Amino acid sequence: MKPNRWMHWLPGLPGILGYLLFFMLPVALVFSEALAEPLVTFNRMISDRYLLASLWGSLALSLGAGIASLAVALCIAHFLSRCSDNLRQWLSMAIALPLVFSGLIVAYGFILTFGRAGFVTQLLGTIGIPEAIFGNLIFTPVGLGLAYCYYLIPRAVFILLPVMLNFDWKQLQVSESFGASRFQSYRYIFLPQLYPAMITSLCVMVSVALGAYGTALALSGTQLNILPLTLYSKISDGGTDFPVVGMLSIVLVALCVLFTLFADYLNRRLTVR
Amino acid sequence: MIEFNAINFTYPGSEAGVHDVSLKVETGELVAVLGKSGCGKTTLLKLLAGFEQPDSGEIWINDVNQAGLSCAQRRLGIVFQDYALFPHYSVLKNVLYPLKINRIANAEKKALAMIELVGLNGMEHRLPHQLSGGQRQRVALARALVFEPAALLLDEPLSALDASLRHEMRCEIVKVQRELNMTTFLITHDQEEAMTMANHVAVMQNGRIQQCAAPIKLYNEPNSIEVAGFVGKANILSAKSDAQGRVNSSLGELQIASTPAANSALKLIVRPEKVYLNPPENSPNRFAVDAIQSEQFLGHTMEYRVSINGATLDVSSAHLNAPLTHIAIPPESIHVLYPEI
Amino acid sequence: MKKITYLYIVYLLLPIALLAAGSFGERWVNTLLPTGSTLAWYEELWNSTAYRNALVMSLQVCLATCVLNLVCITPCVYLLQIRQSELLNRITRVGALLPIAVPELVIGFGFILAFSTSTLPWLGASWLLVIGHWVLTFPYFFFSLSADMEKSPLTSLDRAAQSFGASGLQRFITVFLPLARQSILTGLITVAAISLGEFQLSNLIAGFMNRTYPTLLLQAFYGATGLACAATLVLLLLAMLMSLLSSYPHWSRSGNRAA
Repeated sequence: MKPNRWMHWLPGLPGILGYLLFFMLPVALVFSEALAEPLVTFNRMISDRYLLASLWGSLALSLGAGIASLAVALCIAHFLSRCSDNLRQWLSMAIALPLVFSGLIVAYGFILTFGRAGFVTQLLGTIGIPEAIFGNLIFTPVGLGLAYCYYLIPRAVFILLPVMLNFDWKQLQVSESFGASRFQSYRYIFLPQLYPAMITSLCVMVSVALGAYGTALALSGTQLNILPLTLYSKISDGGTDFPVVGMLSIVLVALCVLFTLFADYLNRRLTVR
Repeated sequence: MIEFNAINFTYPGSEAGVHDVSLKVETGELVAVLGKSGCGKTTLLKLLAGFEQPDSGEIWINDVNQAGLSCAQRRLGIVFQDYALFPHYSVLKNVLYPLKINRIANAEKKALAMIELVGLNGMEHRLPHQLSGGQRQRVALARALVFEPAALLLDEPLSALDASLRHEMRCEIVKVQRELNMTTFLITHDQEEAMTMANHVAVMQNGRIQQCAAPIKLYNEPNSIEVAGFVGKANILSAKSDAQGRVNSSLGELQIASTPAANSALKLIVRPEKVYLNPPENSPNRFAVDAIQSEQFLGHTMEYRVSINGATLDVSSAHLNAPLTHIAIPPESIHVLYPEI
Repeated sequence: MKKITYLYIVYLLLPIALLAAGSFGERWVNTLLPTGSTLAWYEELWNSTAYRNALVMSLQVCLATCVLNLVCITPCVYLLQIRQSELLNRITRVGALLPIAVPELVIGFGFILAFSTSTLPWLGASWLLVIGHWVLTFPYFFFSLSADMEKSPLTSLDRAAQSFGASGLQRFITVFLPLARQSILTGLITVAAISLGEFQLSNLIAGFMNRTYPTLLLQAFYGATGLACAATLVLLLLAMLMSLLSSYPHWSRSGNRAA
């Protein structure tokens, strides 16, 4: 009986071994690198002003891009949930495109569109907005945030859309029949039922934006002071302070895992109901 | 033959399960386990099928102890509640499946014969989604029977069908079961289904078997108020017997067929349709109706709720020609229960 | 709402359109749109061994990643689905979420630490690159397959097959695979799409000889605009193809329902 039980699980073994050796082990090594002398490393990390600034920069960037994307995604999901099935299918297909795009495509497309000699920059130049200022925008954190929105918005749309599709729109009419204004109806009836999905999508977006470095690297090289870029330049340098890099990784991982697991938790409660 | 021997099982971390269940299904017999959802009847099926193993007790099928045997080793034909037909196989391939798995010779011939037995000839090459509910049910039945299983297990087989089909399928299943002399174990929450199909009905409640008896005996002589209430409608009257064996109920003094124990509290069970309405004057247990609280016309019968001497009684009958003034309860129709001590 | 939606669609499509325009343009310096039209950039791309090798490498890695997912993850999903253990499901769920949550950058750093040692000197090997892609993609495959299977009648069909005496392998082949075929395909397309566009991990762990297409692409950005556009468009078209393929079964299903 006993060996028989074990045999049942045998087909799952390659997957489990692969997971342990090629995911758990590397991540564990990053952790152990950092935690060999935790206090010393920690002191070195917090004494580096540049590093701390990059952490805050990253958080601000991810949250900013996340919140902006959420606002846009709410509008888009609202429109999609009210339009015809046919139109929704076509628009969904277009909106799903950025989900599979490499960050590099987005970056180069942005340079062409909003860069110093970009299409939109020149268009705006003709109506009097100085090209030098607008053209440099995409190489700043704000511009990077806009580029992030490009592929964050679809993620939020596809989390919000099912909830809105399931929403019973008659509730708003009922609310208005009691004399509530349109704004009040949305404020007290619609939004509260959407909060969990909104927070879920925000967490997913922040987690994605926090860890990504491809777009930023392609847009600006390693000049922007955000955590993943700082980490990347330190790793690719070689010979740098690996324990500090490890500890920064832990911070990054902790933030990302926290947001992801929280989003998953909310999402599951959402679907159970 | 299927035999449950003092079976106990509880789900880890809960009270739910089955307790001290003993039950026997003779070869060729159809036994129904009847109970509300959550009473443990599905657990009993899982234990019999081998999806769960009992904490204690033994299950025997055809004199083989089933302890430690997996479902695959037990060779039971199971008809699942949702039929569980393989959606990617045709009717024929579904029925062939058990034969192929067990490498039984002449598979095609046997499968076709079984499809004919359940009345599906001509449909061999349809896919499950092209069949009606009743036809799917027949495929599931054919598939469960085709590999000559040790016994047939039916899990709420008719719950997905509408009322008219249900009646037809009941007869169909029993017909096939008799023809093959198949030992059959039926799980259901529908008392009509249990009563019409089974040789014996086991009423289950809270994980225990309350009573197991032939349908007529179960109806006429339930061993508890719960069983009486579950199988058909019942009036339950509180009563006391005095030293002379006279019975005083809430209606008044009653004659009963047997002599009850002296000086004890009793429960009397009276089925509504066994009460005589407007009986001849010399009938025993005749009472005047004080008031008719409600009456309900059900087409084939009329149901009344009447008050008599302050007590309430449900009675029913085909249509009366005169207004309801008196009722009489035949002594032999009163079933006496002694409360458990 | 409508305006914002369409504005976003423009925002979404404009860079793609400009990439396409740029790739066919002869010259594009300080003008609104490129001037002249040519296929020279694509010719150059086609004749460049570096790009061709990188594309072939990318396709090979992508294919190998799909196979690896199919072989390693499908049985796990089946086992978990029929076991129905709440605890195991929760553990694997968190376990599969982690590779999504942990940034590629950190995984890459871990690979450098773990596999550039003398005991495990594997860094730069193509097969390690494949496994790296597998680590990044398997959660998507796992979740999409699991979600589809949860909605399917797998458990009851599996029990039925069990009651007829079918062994685990027989049930996997006769019940699970036919039921999961469509979902497996969709899942693998997602995997392929991610693997083809993957840059962040490959950039760290690929050796010089097995650079994938996206890692090479980054260098194109510093060269001529036309070549960069053409090179990017190739990747973009591959990604769009995958995206359309993965939404195709979805359409035909909803189309059936309407009919």
